This record gives sequence, structure tokens and C-alpha cells, in this order.
Amino acid sequence: MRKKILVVDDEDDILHFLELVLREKGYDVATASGGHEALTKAQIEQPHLILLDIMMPQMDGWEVLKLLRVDDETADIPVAMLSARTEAKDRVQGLQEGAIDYICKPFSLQDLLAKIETIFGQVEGRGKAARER
Amino acid sequence: MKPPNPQEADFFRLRAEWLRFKNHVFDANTELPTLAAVMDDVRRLMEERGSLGVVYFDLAAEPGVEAARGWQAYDELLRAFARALLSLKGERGPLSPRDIVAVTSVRSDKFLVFMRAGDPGGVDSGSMDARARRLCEKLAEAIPRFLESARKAPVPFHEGHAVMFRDPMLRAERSMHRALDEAMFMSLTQRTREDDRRLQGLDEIIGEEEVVTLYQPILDLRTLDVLGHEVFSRGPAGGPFEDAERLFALAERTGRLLDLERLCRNRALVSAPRHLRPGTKLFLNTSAPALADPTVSGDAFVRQVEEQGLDHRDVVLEITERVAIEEREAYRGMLRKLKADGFGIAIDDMGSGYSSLKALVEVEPDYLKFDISLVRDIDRSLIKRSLLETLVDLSSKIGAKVIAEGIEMEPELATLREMGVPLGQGRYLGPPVLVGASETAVS
Repeated sequence: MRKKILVVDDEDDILHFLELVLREKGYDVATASGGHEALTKAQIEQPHLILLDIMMPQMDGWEVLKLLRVDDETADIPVAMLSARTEAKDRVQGLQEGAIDYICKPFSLQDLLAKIETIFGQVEGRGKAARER
Repeated sequence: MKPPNPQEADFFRLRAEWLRFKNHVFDANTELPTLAAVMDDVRRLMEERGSLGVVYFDLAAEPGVEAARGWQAYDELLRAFARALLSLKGERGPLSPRDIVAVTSVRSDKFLVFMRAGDPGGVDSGSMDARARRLCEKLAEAIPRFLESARKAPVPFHEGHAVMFRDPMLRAERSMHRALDEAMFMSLTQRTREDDRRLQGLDEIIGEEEVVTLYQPILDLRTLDVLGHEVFSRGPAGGPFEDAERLFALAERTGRLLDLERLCRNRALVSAPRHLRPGTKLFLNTSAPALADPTVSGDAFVRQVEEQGLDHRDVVLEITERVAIEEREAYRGMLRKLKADGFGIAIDDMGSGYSSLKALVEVEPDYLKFDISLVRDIDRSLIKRSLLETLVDLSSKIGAKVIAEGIEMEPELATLREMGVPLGQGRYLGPPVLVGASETAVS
């Protein structure tokens, strides 16, 4: 089955770029340019992965992540945080809040695609392990 | 009990707040977002493409139909509509995967679709007309596939559409609302025009006396003798009013119910002596407002019945308890008078929630008709059985006989007989037939 990825970023350029690239790689892509829209889209689209920018006006990535986690319908969707900040503190916070990965901007395309593949691999592995148990 | 850990407490507080918020922007029944929730997305799509088409759908169900079938049935209809719309998304469907489907607000029966108005770049209202038309056609085809119930009747809806353009001088939201108003107005115009046409049709039916009369036998379940017949009326076959519910709902909404019922009643009374064996009963559906009609409540009714060579004590008025509370007293007074005159009284649609036991005891009906839903699969449902047992018991205590409606299969009949339900009606015992057709019996 084709995987669907929701990309959330307030910068339109990044959004379009990622949409193009990911679609090219055979993913279904949905986009959101802000926190509220991200929550709506996550509900409607039920993506397999969310790439979530941290620094956004109005509602930042952390808040979005928190709200995704309190709703049963979105709680299990893997989220990878995108950020220009590279402090270790952010990384730790991200993992504590339930983000599955942390991707630093600027990122190389290869890195990003590899990370996405790894995440889908992990999620599948997790599902498999759960079934075997 | 140990105090909740602060992190956990925070989680639950946040969750409660979020769910409350979600209930305001997502419609739980259709699982569609509301306009408010998709606003950002719509604006972005419009800014990206320079223009965007909006299609507005208004479910054209007759207002009385929800009241007649219950809100659950209407909710089901809305769900089917929403699923059908979503099913049209796809690479080759009339809707592209990025097009947006929403409801105007929570619990609304108005739907919105935001779609590409034409090829990227070249957009005009002409291409939008064509796209909207195609969408409507596909939608009408798709809806029946998503209806859960056995009713596969076409679902009528009204549609309006408009194109919103990016205009640097206008705030984006404003141009969206302008387009929405335009689409809504278009759908409303369509609705009004159709209403006029249907009203004309209704007046024609009443004026030309075009109702069709059908009889369905009611059987004594012990002996399988015919106790009597219920009379149904509907519009001419093939016309929009072949659906009796639509006919009566429109008549009620437009103040023509009494005229229509008078016509149906006359038809039934005139045809009865030719088709019914003497001594069998005639069950006439009568709405609560019609009880106040002087041709029913006055002495003239007895005369009218006798003129047809019928004994008025063989006429049973079948009534639903669907009456506004402030009118209940007057309504019961009329029922008591009819009973005193010798007419039989049957309470229809028992179990649909309108009938209260207290009201029942006061009216002292001769028959209680139980809803189709209580009988369906009764051979397999213990709860339904015990509920019906209680009701049969209760009925005999107030001197009324139970009629089980909607018997469609042999096992249902067997169970009802075993339980001692005295009377029954349903397709299995005999479907409604046009007068003139032959008598029916158990197959």
C-alpha cells in the first residue's frame, strides 16, 4: 500500500519542495501550513507519518504533537520533528513527547528519504513484533 | 486512592479540552470536517491555483420525512451522502485527491466540496458548470451503494456552485464567503423551483383525485382468518408521489393534509364495500390533525360510512400519537368521542417513542400496532421477545389487542404465534394490493 505523509511547515517553499520530492518518490502527500490545519489534516487524512516543523507562528510543533497524542485517532501516527535548532535539549524534549525522530534543517534530501524509510521500517517492525507477541 | 501524577492529570485535561474543541469542528456522524476546520486549506488551495470551485449540496429530504422515520434514519442518509462524496475522490474520479469535502457546520445536512474549477490556469464558470454537473451525476449513482438500510430509493439533493478567484484587493476569506453565498443561493433557487413544481403536482393529485388505494390484510394469527384490511394511499405509480411518505409530508408542510386525507378516506370508503367481505374491519390511517376535521369528528362521518353500506363499528381509525403536548388534551377528547360513537381506535407505530403508557390508558384503544422494528428477527432476539411479551401482557390488561406489523418471514410468524400475539400483518401474510386485485392469504 502507498504510504501517506503529512508535511507541516509554515514556509510555503519548503512545503512545495517536500511535496514534490516525496510524491516523486511514490508517497501520497498531504500538506498543512500551520498547527490548526495540521490537526485537521491528521484527522481527515490519517497519514502514516507526519513531518512536523517546530517553529511555526500561532501554534508550534510541540503543541501540535501534544494534541496529536491525546486523541485516540491520531495518537499512534509516527511524528518526525523538523527543526533548524540543533540543541540537544530539543532532541530530548522531542523524544519525551513521543516524536519518533528528529530531523535538522537544513537536511540533505538523501538523509531525509533514508530517515523516512527507516521510520517506516521501524513502524512495521513494531507491528510485527506486537503480532508475534 | 493515590493522587494522580501531575503529568497524567495534564494529559487528561488536555485531552478533554481537545475533544471538546474537536466536537465543534468535526461532525461526528459524517466524520467530515466543518467549513471552519478546512478554511486554511481552502485559502491555500485557492491562492495556489488562482481560483477554486465550490459546490454546495443541500439534502432535499422532505422536512417531514425525518420526523416520520426518525433522526437515526436521517443520520444514516447523511453518512451515506458523505461516503459517496469521498468515494468520488481519485486520480480518475470527478474529484481529485486534494479536493476538499466538508459540512457547513456540525450536525448540518449541507455539504461543501472545494474543487479545481478547471485545468490549471484556465478557469471559467463554464467549465465549472460542466464539472459540477458531472459530479452530481456520479454522486447520484454512488449514494445507493452506501445506504445501509434496505431502502435503496434515490436520494434527492439540490446543488449550487460558484467559482472563487484570488483577488489581491480582497481578503481571501471574503472572496470565499462570497462564492459560498452564490452557490447556496443557486441551490436555494433550484429548491424553490422544484418545490413549486411538486406543489403543483400535489394540487393536481388532490384536484383530479388521482390517489391510488391499496389494501393489506390483517390476520388473526391463531386461525389465520382475515380480521380486516388496512388501507394505504399513495400517488400515481411512476410519479414523484409514489412514495407515500413524501406525498403526506409535503401535504402536511403546505397545509393540504386535511384535503388529501379527506380524499383518501373517501376513496377507501367508496371502494370498501366492493372489496371487503361484510363483517371485516376497515383500518383507516388518520393523522392527529384530521381528527379535528368536521368530516371526521362530526356526526356526518357516521352517516358517510353508513351510506356506503358499511357498519361504522367496523371502521377502525388508525392513529399515531405524534401530537404536540399542548394539543394532547383536545386530541384525547376527540378520540373519546369517536370511541363513544362506536368507531374502533388503533394506535399506530407503538414503540416509536411517541406513545406514553399513561396516554394509552386514557384513550382505551381497541388495537395497538407494534412497529416493524420490534418484529424484525424476533425469532432470534431474546430481548425483543421479552419486550413484546410484556407489551402483549400489558395490552390485554387495558383491553386492547396487539397487531404485529411487518411480518416478512415464516420464522417471525411462527414465533409470534407461539407467543400468543393475537393479530398480525406483513408481506408474508399478504402485501398491500391495489383494490381490484385478488384476495391474498398465507402462501
